[in-house]
Amino acid sequence: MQHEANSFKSPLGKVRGLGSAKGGTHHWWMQRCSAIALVPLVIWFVITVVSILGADEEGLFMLVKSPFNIISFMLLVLAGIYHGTLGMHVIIEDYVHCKAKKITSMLIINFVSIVTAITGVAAILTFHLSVFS
Amino acid sequence: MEMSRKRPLSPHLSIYRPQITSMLSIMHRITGAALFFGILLLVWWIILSIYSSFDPDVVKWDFFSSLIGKSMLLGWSFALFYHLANGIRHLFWDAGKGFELKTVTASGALVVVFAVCLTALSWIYVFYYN
Repeated sequence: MQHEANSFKSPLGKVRGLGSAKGGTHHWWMQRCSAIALVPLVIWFVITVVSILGADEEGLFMLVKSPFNIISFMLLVLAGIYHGTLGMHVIIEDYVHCKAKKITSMLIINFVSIVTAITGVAAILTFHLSVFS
Repeated sequence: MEMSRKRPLSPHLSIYRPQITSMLSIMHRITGAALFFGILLLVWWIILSIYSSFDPDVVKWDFFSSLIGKSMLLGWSFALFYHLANGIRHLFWDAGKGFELKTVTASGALVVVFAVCLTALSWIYVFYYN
């Protein structure tokens, strides 16, 4: 009770459970979730990239034809861009203090991320289907 | 106005002596930002390669054969290993583990050693196959 009496939070703020960002812990939690997902994906990516170097053309084709590799790569792209976008948000929040610049740079990061992710997935899927047809 | 200007400020970054913990922390941000631009570039390279039906000029991307290009690839590979290892260190902290001063320093050193060794190993492997 002593703690509550000294709290900086208003009773309404306490009920809502959200800070000044109005987003609660969602942003933070999503950053951890994508981080955990990226650990095995990055390990797979490094092993795959390194193993490409020794492969001949046929080996390379087998590699990009495999649904496991294609799907792992798409997951890496999506989780990576998502995690990177969340990280860039935090960096912008910390270092960009002018509100107009902050909102503009956040918007640019979001748009570039979404366009890259969707175009990337579309291209990779198109390629994957063309290999199988 | 004059009074409020002379009030003492809390010590900021420029006051502190650089420590391994703070250096590794800012490195995590720098490598993270570098990797974000890296993944965007990687994805656009793949998009352009696929939609140009693997035009050799697009796929080869001569810039990354230059010295600056190769140094950037080296930097990105280090950034990837560093951010991966230090990210796992952060996840341990999120679980409430490894906060003792000795542990923090030791895990930080381990992260740097891991990143340097894996970067070196990868590039030795690359040169071995070329």
